[in-house]
Amino acid sequence: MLQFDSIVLRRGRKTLLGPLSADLPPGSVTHLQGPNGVGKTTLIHALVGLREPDAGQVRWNGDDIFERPESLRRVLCYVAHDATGNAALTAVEALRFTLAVTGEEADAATDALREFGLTGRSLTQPLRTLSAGQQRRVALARLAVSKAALWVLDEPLNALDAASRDALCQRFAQHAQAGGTVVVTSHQPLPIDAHCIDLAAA
Amino acid sequence: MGIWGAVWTREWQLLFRQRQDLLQPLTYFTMVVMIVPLGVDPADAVLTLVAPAIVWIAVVLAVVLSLDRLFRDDARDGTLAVLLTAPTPLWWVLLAKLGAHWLGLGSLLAIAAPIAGAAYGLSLAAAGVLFVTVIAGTLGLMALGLVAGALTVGLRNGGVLVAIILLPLYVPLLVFGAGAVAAVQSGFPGAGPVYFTAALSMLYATLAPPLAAVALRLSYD
Amino acid sequence: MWTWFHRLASPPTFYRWGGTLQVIFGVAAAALIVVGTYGGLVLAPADYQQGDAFRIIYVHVPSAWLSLLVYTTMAVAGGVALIWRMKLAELFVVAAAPIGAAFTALALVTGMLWGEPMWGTYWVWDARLTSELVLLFLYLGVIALNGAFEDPRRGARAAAVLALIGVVNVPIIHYSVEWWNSLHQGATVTKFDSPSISMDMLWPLLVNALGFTFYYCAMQCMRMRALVLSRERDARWIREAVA
Repeated sequence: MLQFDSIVLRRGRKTLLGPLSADLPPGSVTHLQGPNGVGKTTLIHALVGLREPDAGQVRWNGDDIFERPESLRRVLCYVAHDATGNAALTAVEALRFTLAVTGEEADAATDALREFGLTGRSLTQPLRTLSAGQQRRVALARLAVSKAALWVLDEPLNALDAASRDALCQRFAQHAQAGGTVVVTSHQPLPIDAHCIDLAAA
Repeated sequence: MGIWGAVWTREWQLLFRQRQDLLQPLTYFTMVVMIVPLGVDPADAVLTLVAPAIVWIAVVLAVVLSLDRLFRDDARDGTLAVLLTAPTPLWWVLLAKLGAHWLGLGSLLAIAAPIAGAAYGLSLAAAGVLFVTVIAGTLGLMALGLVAGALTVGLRNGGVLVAIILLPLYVPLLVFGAGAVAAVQSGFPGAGPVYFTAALSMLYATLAPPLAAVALRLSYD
Repeated sequence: MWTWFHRLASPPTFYRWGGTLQVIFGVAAAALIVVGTYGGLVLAPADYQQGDAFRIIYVHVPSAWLSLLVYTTMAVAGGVALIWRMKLAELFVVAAAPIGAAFTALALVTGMLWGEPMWGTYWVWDARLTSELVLLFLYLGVIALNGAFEDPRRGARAAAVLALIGVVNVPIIHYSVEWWNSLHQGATVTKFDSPSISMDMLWPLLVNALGFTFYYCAMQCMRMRALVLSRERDARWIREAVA
């Protein structure tokens, strides 16, 4: 279980957020929402271990994630809002690399990309020649083979068309049903059952 | 294909597809070497006297200039976020980066340096020593550069800062690297400083990946 | 023991005992420096070769000694800051760097002033002066890196990493510069290697070195307390302490 224990995030002297406490149990989809600049990405960075909170703790199964980062990293699949992969690599190469370093099966890359609607030439051309939506799908294709229990995604719906958005949200719901935990930031409402945390109110 | 293979493959793919990242520092090296004689009398023996220093300084400048490519793209395209949150030990990845960068640019500079030295009138033996110290020394230069680049990855204008941090740290490699060449050129044995250059490089290359991993985690934003 | 140490290193507690320490160090430093300087400038006999010009060593040598001591303590604190993630050790690094840089600059300036009557010029590429100059740049790098970060904690930790690399390099730099110097200079009179120094001249030097060290300790406490105040300015204990 992922827990926020009275997290406070500051930027300079200004308090961005908090104190925020919440439990994100297995089997749940959590939707972090709020207007621009409220600190969604900063909170995401805190909960994947990229930035220490200025006060409070983030805990995974009871362990502070900054004390024992390995236990979180082993179960984590994090897709940043600007994740594309190196523009000089092809979709297959970029995904193979990501899967290999995150401990997944690299050979499943091509199938995963197909599942996310990338076929033919878009698999073998440098990423820089793909559209923003296609690049987004290359980054998200990790989810197709991910064995990680905890999915953390920053603005995954950006640049996707309506059909892909729905398919992605269904994937979140399935992952939760299978006992996983999903944390998503988004400006738009999710078309599935999700536990909403409004950061503007926190 | 294991993790090591994946990391290593990617570094080589990037080296070959982004050749300008290596060719630009090499061009810069050549231009620095070319521009110095324009400031003095080219027939003067002083040029041969300062040749080891100038060629080595040009190598240092080219290396500093090349460091930008180590983390620039990875920070921008989200690869760094993947690496920092992945279970793979980060220093492995950094070691592969260092190795590929060294074999790519280090070897190019090591080939170019003795040619430049010969143009300055160095003896064949001295040019040979220049080749050896540059190939050995660039590993150390780049190892220190790896840490400096990691420290400044979250900063908007890290480039100048990297140079300021690095130049004082480069003093020993520069002294031994250029000193070995100067010694051989004036007829003294150069083995001692050559060994020192190699030993220092090994020391830096051993310390750098774990330190750079610490640095990346604290600097990344 | 460990919890006791942690409590002692918490910013509010440090603010209190650091204040006491700073006064003790300051008084000790003032007393020692007055005695040492009087001994050096008045009691010690003039040098038979250098006359009164040698007396600058009573500032130069302690400064040079501290330039190295401060860097070493800064790097040790940096290691503690990175391994145990201790806030106070981070502050130590940030507080020490400008003090060390100032001592290094002082050692350089006094070395140059000394060089003028000795060599007839303010600067020669003497091995020790040169490695002192490199040390100054190492300090400036630490200060610049710390200042480049918006978030002071990350700036302090980055400075700690750099201090650690630097401290590995300081002896290497020193050795390499010595080697370089021996390669290129036939017979320079190294003024610093006086083979023996008489007791009359030596004791004020040692007293001043100790006095400078205490002065550094006092300054370090003072700067760390100032940093605690500015970092924790929104904390309740500060408002109570200041009110």
